[in-house]
Amino acid sequence: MKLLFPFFIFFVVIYLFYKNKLNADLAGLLILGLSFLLLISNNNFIIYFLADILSIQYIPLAIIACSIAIMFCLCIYLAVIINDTRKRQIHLVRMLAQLKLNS
Amino acid sequence: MKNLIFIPSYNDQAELSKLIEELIYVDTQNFILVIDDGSDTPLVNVNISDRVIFFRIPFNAGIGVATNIAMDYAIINKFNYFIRIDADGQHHPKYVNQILKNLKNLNADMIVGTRINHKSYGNLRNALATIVKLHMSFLLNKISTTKLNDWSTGFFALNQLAIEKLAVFSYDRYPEVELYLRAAEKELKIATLDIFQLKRNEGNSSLNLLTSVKLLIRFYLILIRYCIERVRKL
Repeated sequence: MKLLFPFFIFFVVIYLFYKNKLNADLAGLLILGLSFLLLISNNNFIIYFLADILSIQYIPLAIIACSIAIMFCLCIYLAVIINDTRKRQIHLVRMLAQLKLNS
Repeated sequence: MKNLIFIPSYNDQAELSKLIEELIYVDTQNFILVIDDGSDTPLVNVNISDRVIFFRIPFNAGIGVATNIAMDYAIINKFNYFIRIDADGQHHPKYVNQILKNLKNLNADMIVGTRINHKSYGNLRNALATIVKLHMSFLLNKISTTKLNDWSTGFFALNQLAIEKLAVFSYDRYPEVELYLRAAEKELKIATLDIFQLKRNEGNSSLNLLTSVKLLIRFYLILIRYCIERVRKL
């Protein structure tokens, strides 16, 4: 069950990349983040360590997981927006190039 | 018959004018399109001939975008052949004629210039790069219908059919792997030409540890996408 969320997000990232909604560089970054999430969510030592440095007395794993989930959703949303903006920018550059080269 | 020789350039001023001079006088059918991919110092337009065209992208968009612009230009102006050569002088201009000859004689849609000396174990950086390239080639040759010894070479030639089929895709930074995979996916006839890569006289490779990791991640993503598309086709 622990692995469900990272795998779900992994498939979302792959799907968005496949549908050309996500730039390869950004998708790569998110996959690296997911690997990190996978590592910390499966390692008690890291969770206890994080709880300790954040002074959390009772380790609310679910809350931490939810926070990370929300953060990731936001990151993906931002990445899609950035990708969309870049695609528009590239489209404009290609149009500008054709106008200039064929004038 | 018109040939478009496309030279993408990013901070490669030193060797460029020499390369253009060598290419332009080889054949009167050669037209050269130099795309400055947002170099720190803008390229100086060398007015050697009317057959040399310069274009500067205002920011560093990546070779993929420059390749798209060049392909669009080749289609609009009905060029018969499209050749990409690096601006840093690592590809000898003599191979341009050979690659064109092979394209015509072998009746191929695409010729990929395979570097026979691209494997190097001289220092840690080169050894790592070679291992990564070997790993990529191994996987690509297993999965793709095309078999190449060098999947990251930037020297290739296309005929009109290949230009039209490959121009529909948008390419990103370091587009070589994606371009060759797309060519395989579009069932283009691909052949190879063995070339000897010269030493870089000036400037450094843009590849470092971080970009290599990013490239490797992107490579896996492209590979996954290719596999999904192949499975969907079945």
